Amino acid sequence: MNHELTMILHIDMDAFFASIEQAINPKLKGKPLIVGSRNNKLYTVVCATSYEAKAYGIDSGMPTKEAFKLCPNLEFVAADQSKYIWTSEQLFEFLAGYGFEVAYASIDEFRMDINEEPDPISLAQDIRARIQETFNIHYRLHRHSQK
Amino acid sequence: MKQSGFSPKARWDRHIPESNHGDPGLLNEKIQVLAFFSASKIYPRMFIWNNKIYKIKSITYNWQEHTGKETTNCFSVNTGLDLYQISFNNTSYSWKIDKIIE
Repeated sequence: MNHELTMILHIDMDAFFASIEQAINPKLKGKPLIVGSRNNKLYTVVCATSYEAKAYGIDSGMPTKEAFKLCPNLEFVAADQSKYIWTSEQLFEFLAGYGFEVAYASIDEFRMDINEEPDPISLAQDIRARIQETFNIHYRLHRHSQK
Repeated sequence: MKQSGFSPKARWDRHIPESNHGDPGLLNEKIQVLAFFSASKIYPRMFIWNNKIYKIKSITYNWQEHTGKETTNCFSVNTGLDLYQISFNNTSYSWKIDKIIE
């Protein structure tokens, strides 16, 4: 049985779609925001929320009508997949540039095999700083080991 | 590392495009733009729309859209008063104003 541990860096973009929309329109920063799957404010489904909207109990999959009942001042943006796909691809290329094996976990989550990295903390800090500088969006980093 | 086989495009395969992308505010009008092209990047600096000059103070975001072989570079730009989405088509070498971002 192979008991060797593999160290994986998990990069999870926070409120990915909402974060991109807030970067596009700085007026939306710090506000409760939902991204709707279609451009029909009251008759669609929430596909992403900002942290400020989550604080009202609004989450993905909720009908927008229900979301507006919980927070009447909610900001609404219709989803535009090209922005999210492009940003996801750019993030993947950016991470692959570190020379480690990178895999998609979802459109906004990536796994990087950093087993050969002697200083994973510094690497994570560097990734954090460069993503913030380059993409201006939020994210979380988790380091974990797996057999 | 085990590959998930996930593709960021896959989740949108079932997306059904609506007219104007479902956006009634879509302008889709030709504009003239002064821009710098440097190191494979485009930096629009000002545009003329309806005979009015709009100076661009900052580019808040940029991304690409692909339709067949065509690539469109999209920019959300801040003029200090308003935010606009403008785009450059790499095939026709033309600029458009897509919408006013509200």
